[in-house]
Amino acid sequence: MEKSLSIQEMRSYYTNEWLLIAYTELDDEMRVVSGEVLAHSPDRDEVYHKLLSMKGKPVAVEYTGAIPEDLAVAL
Amino acid sequence: MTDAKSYRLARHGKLLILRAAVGGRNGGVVVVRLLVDTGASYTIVPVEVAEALECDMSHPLRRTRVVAANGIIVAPMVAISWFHCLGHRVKDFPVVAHTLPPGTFVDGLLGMDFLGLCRAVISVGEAEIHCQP
Repeated sequence: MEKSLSIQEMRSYYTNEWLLIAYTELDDEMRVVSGEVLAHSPDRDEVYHKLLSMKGKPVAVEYTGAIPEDLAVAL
Repeated sequence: MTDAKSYRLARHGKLLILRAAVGGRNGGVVVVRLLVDTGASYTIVPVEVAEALECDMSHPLRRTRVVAANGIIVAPMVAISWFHCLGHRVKDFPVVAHTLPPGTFVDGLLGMDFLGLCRAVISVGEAEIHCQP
């Protein structure tokens, strides 16, 4: 799909997926407002791998699912 | 705190998350989600992001030991051409290149190196960071 979408459209088309987005607009908190989805997958590492072919482009990595409220991280 | 500027954080359960932009000498920019982590000495970005920005992974600034959940790992520290977060854009910012486990739902960590640089004051209750300009 090579057309600009709003982030709401991306969330509805690609539910619970990781997206690599060539953004055309960010808001003041650097959240994607609109852009083109370059890659999508439920597997984050697949999307990360696509980053390597995007050299020189402004892109954002986004996850369209909800982060579990009970997620605990101990790194 | 008179001239401090406030930035909203996204709260997910007990976690506070924000976005940062990292730039490379090749003109590339990657916007990533970082976990605000006062327990992390250094800011961490995924290896794949550092590689996409053409950081010299074979000749890092140094290698650093990182105490991770699965033990101690040795990860390269590389200079990102620029790092932009919380209203601060820092040139040649050193970060640890390390890919976190997928289940964390974030791309990396915003560590004490950058938080200290911004003289950040974190309001956990309000999910905000106040930074000096």
